[in-house]
Amino acid sequence: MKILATGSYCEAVHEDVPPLKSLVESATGSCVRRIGRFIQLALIGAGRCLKPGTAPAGTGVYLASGRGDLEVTLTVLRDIFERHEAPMPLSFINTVSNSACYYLARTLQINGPSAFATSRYAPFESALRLASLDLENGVPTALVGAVDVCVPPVCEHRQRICVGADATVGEASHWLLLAPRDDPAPALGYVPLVRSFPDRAGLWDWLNTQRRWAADTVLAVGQHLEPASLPQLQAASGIDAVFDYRSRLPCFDSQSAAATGSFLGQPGKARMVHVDGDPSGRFSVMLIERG
Amino acid sequence: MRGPQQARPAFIGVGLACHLGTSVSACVDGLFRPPQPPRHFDLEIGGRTERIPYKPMDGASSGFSSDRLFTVLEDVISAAVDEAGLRPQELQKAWLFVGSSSFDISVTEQQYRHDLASGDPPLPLRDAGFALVAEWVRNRFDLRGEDFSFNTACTASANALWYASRAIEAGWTQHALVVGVELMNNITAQGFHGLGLFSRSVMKPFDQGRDGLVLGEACGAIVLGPDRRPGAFHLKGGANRCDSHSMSAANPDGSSIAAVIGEALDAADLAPGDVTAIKAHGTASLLNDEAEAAGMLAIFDRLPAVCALKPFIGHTLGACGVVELILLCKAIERGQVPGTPGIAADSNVLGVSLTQGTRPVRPGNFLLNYFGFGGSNTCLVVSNRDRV
Repeated sequence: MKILATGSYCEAVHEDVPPLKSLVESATGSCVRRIGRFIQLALIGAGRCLKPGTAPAGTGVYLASGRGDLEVTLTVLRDIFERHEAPMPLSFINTVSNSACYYLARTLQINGPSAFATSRYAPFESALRLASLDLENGVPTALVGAVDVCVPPVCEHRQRICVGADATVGEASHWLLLAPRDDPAPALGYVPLVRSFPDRAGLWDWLNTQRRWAADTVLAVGQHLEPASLPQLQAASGIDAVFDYRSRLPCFDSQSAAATGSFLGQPGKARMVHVDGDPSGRFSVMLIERG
Repeated sequence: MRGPQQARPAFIGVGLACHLGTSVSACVDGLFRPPQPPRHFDLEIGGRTERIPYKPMDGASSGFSSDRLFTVLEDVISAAVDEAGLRPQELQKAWLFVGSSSFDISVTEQQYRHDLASGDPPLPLRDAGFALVAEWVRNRFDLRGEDFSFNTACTASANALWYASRAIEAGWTQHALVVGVELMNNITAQGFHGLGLFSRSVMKPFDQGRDGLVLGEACGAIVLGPDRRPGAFHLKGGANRCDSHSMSAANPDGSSIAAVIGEALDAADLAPGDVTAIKAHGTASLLNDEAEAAGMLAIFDRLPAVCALKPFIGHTLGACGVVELILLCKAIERGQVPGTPGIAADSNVLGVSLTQGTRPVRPGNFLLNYFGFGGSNTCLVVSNRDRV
């Protein structure tokens, strides 16, 4: 896959969440009414990646998230169980996460495939996988992103996303606009590979094949791997240079979505190997190359 | 990134539980009896008690189902895996695709109610996430392949199946387990009530007397994989498109639905005249049936047999993709398309009449429609005629 553009929004949340309405307007050129933060975040990140009306109509939208629209789901739950009120109809509809895909398609004027699809430990990688299937089957371009919202109070949000009491949490929306590799448009970069490995042995075999490019490659490690795994990955791949995109990020579920834009946004080596894992011992890999 | 192209995978194992029964054969038997009226349960909504029509899973005793979710998943998936006859090593490598609109929200609701009742500070949605059902399935069945959880409203498990089949065709995996699940919960019941979408009688898709839907509970599972048996059902094509006309209804002129049907037929390399029968989405709501009818009539000069399954099982939302596909395929394997006597008997209303009695059918190509909130439109084409 070829990367045509990237777009992102990422902010730490210390007490209250900042208003997003003006950012939506500047990113998309339109005032979208009656939407919550999750959809606002999606529009900001995606709008910074793709200007409305500039992509082929058949462009697909692939959205991932760790927990979806937490804000509206919490509102509906509290309406029902604490306030004993019926949920507002639009709030109910927005609990279905592909509501965000609808607003993206409508605002960006696209009508290709739309999918909210995720996995617990590799949400962004899952969306990338599905987009690559569609790009290989005739979809002209794919807008792939991950969005995570923060609902104050921050202390509760930390518990909700299972991070420590002193962790800085945040909101994020990271997007890539992708096309098939043979698309004539100029490339910002490429995604030659996104895949998973069921165990360490498979990952190690693959990392060993990367030795020949090791001098021109950086290694990035995702949020679900222990820090101690870094030297092991370096030894297995022969890649010494480390690309640390995470130390500047607040805590949110889909951090790997930030890696590609961060890598392509600064000068450096030609390739990035991004590795993440999960508690059951599976691994996911994204390989990114500069255009 | 793409592996060697594989043959189209077949449906090699299925499991099913819904209002009609807790086994595939019992559910399919139920398609050959007239649809039964829904049950009702009382739901407190904003200080009032409302009677909610629904079609609970067979054997379910009450409206809400938090304690049944994982039992149902276990039973249904075990049946599919057993029929597929996968070796443990094959199952371990299989990829998992789950589609639902509510996932485990019934469990979250139960925890929240418990916290409120006990006086503990409630923290709703603690460690919640769409992929927790997939995590449970992976752990229980020792799956180590990739997993995907689809939350695209009423198209969720149809989309899961569409991507699973193509992942196998692309050579990424040899087997896939596709699961659709939907159990009753407060958010869904209250949300649909607030939208005024419930029927006061029975679901009558495309009928002059249609007045809304009845929710249904269901869980379906399909194992996809290689099968050389002639006549094995497989997914021949499909399409998924976003309709940005409205958040809650397809464009009533049928244009967006015609587009996704046309794209699905193209993907299956079929002309409209090659379609043997259609399984309509048929939610019995005023606007959506109008849009679906207009979309079908825009594509087909002459409609083949059209059937609707929601009068039998209710609207099973994100599960209906897998559940209605299993029901249709198994009915066709018995040589019949199910009928809904007295519902949309003539085509004077929307131009679509539904099969009334069971109708004999030969192996062929079958179109299945699914449309959901958020402009999510998906069509699948299954075939038991050939497989390339």
